[in-house]
Amino acid sequence: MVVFREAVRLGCAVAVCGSVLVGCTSGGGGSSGSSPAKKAAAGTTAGPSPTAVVDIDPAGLPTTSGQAAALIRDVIAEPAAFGPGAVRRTPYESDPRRWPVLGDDCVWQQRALPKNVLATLTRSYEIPASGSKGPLRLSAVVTVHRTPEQADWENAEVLEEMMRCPAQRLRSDEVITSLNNAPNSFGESGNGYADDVLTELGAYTGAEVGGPHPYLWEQTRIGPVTLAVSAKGAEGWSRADLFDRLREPHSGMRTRLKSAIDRDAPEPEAPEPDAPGPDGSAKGDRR
Amino acid sequence: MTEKLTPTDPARVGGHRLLARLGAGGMGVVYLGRAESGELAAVKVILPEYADRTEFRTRFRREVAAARRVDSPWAVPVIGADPDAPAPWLATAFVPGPSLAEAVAACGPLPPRGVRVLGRLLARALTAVHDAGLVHRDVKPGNVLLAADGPRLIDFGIARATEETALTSAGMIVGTPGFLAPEQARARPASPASDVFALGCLLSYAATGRPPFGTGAVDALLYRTVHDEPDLAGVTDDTRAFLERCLAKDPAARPPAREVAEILADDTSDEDLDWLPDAVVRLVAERSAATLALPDIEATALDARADGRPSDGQPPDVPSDVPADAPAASGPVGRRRFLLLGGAAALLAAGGGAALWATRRDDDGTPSAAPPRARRWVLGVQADLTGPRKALGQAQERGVRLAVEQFNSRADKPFTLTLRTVDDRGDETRAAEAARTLAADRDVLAVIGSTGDGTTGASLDSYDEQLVPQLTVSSAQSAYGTAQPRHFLQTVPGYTNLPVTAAFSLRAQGARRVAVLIDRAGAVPAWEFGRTMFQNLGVIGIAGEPRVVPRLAENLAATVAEMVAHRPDGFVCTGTPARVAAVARALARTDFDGPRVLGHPAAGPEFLTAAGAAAEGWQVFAPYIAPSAAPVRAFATAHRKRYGAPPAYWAAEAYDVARMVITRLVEAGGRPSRQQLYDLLAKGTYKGLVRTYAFDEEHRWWLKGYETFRYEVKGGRYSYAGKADA
Repeated sequence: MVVFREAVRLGCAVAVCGSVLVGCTSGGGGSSGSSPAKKAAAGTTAGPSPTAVVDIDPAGLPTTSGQAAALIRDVIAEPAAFGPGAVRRTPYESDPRRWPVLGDDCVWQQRALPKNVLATLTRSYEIPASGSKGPLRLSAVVTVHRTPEQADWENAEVLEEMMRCPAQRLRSDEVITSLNNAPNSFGESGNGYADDVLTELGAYTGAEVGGPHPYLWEQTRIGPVTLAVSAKGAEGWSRADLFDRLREPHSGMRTRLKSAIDRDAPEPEAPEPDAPGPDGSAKGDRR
Repeated sequence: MTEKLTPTDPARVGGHRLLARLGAGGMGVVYLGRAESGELAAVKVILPEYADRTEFRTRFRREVAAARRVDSPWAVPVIGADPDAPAPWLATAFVPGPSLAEAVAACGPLPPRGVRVLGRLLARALTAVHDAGLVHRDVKPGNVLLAADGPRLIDFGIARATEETALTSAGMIVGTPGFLAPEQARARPASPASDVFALGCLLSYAATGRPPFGTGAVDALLYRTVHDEPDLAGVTDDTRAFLERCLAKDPAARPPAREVAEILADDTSDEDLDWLPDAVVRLVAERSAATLALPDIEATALDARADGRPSDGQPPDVPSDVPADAPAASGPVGRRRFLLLGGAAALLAAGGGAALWATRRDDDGTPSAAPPRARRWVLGVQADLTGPRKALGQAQERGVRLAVEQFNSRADKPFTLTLRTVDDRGDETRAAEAARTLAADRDVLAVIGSTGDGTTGASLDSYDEQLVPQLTVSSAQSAYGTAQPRHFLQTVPGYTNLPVTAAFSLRAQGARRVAVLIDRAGAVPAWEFGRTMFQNLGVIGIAGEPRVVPRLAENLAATVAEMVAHRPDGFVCTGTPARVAAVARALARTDFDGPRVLGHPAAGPEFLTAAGAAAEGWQVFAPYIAPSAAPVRAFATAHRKRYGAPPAYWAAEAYDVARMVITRLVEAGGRPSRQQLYDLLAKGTYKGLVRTYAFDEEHRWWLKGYETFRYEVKGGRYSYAGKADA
């Protein structure tokens, strides 16, 4: 009997050995670049910020699926964020009524979205094969929960799943193995840019690209929202390459999210980014 | 002793990605490979030119089919084969443990009961091999690997050279001299009775540390095998009688393997690891963990910073410490590796002594032969003296101070050591400032600190930039973000190293299904400890349920209830003192009755107070010795005399570390530079009161060894239960 829990998407595992958190300081730009908590307007809005990373008005957070879905569309990355050559994959977006769940058999399956998740969206991208390099498969996921606590449970479950299933089957012809993760809460190990950071490393093997190749999943939580980016390696892609490719899109999503839910944000929607490279809305957090 | 793949080795064989060479012979090579499922396998690949000899493939096919019929938990299973490939190959499950040869070479002969249990289990394996129609033909200590639950017989009877070619030229003997039966030594066909003879040799080797027909020149050895009586001196009487039967010259006089197993049966369970000496059990755990640490991740990750790893078709760097079946060379028997995430059980090994510097230079260029200048020799201490961990910080400061004062009171002291203490209050910003201050003081030779993990992380770079050797007494994270300090030493077993002892102890206490609750509120230490504990339990065969509770969670009791509903017989919890106390209270309200362990960072007075009666019975596996323990009695007396109070936890450890630094300073024979002092500390082995301090060759700042001390809450106090070594 296979049991499905309200398990979460994979986090990226970071081997805690020595120096493995290579590239994970990437997001550090966000801490200096994001708008400082605007304490000047004390008393204008009610409610303490549910996150230390940015001053959020809790009343401004999504409470319905529709609001959450709109927020996600503002936040989730465009292909260009992953750098030159990145294009959409087909299918590009996930079915918004479903999300992946890891069973006791360590196989991922699509299940109906649970009630405590307001909305989620996954986009798939690719840097097609060229020269000696195979195709790099990328994804971005944004999930809006009802409360920060529930988002925190999502991250906890990522870690559980990694322990319970250090090898996981993504699809009938794709597996990830040797999963490792080192989580850091806000303030730990230089994490000043998210309430929680998970970096999961592993090995990816697929029928199309063979393997094992490097696999990386990075996930952060800010308030009730979790953001994730992932990369499934192929020939010619090193782990350092994967970190490099995921840095900008992840940072961009965090910046857009913070801007969107900041207490003093003037509009509920942030403008659509249309330029390649890191998003211009970032306040100086270029790498 | 694995080797890297050579450029001519294939990258993949039969769906296995090859990682390293395990061994090579005339017929082909044995590789360590990884199947697509992630499983590790030993893949034996036969050279095509050999495979094309007459009848080889037919025999190979038949033997593979027979090997698949071997059904014993003590013989490795065949997991794949292709006799028809141009280079035929055979894959068996890889056993990550050490060979019996290594274990005996490293840890000495087995005790009598161990020999009998080993013999029984191997006899059962041989029975299965023989029942399948095979003869092993090379039973020897190198072909018996030790796993967590018992031995594994490997490399049986498949694709060996035929007997006709035996003995005609060096290196072509089938089987290993010293364990060959007389009929094999005379180039007659091997039979199941030959295996029993070899088993007899192996068991007598295990019992005495010597093969029964000696070692040395092959022809003399073979002669003795055929003509001389075996040397069984030192074997206990009951075992000796049975070994003599196995070692009968006449094959017909030897008992069949099945009977050997019956002779050696007793009423103890097979699965008890008690039959192996502690040192061997540790070796097994370390090796198993090292391999299951999935070396290619670690190698790749560490390389990712160093290079861009172009795709040049070469296999990735592989670690060279995956065990093979050769006896260990002198020196450390294994390296410390992460258990999956990062914690590895390091085997304590005696490293080299401290180097004595023949030449030295002060780092400000002053010639050391000059007359002594009035330059201060300063030992820095950075501690939390007034913040959340002040109990630890104060204890450590006192320990260091006592060591310094004792040294300074020596009549023959070569210099006077000054102590300079800075209080970082457990605050990371202050810690960074404190480190900058101490590092900028040119007279500071080394710093002991900081007390906490966060403050240590915050101070690393400042000390490293100025080459100041920094030693922590209580901070034990396996990594501090992305920092790569080069002058840093942890003198305490890491959070990812220590849990192995607790895991073994839980097993010894009868636990077989352990629930592990990791509370993110406990930050990195709780994560590292809990995650490693879960992993280690898995390595030694204990099923577990891992649960992670987020910081924002409010109701821990619900999680506890869910975990207890799965009927665990052991419980581990890591987190903050207050939250672990909440778990303890919740657990006390259930009918759970098994052993409970809390991660040592949470084991302070606050846990006892908050948990109240529910704290009773919780166990702690800590790296600090009880101040009342015998090894530190003299220190405790001196401490009481100096401070009017007995030492608190961690004082003795800090005292040890300070004395280690002082010892190296004295050895330097003059004022060493900071770099020189660091090298002396890092390369040396120092025997302290609490433990012996030596550092890992590969991860230079990790401590080798994981001496752990067990405590149990009794009557509202932590009661010392002695050293915990499985």
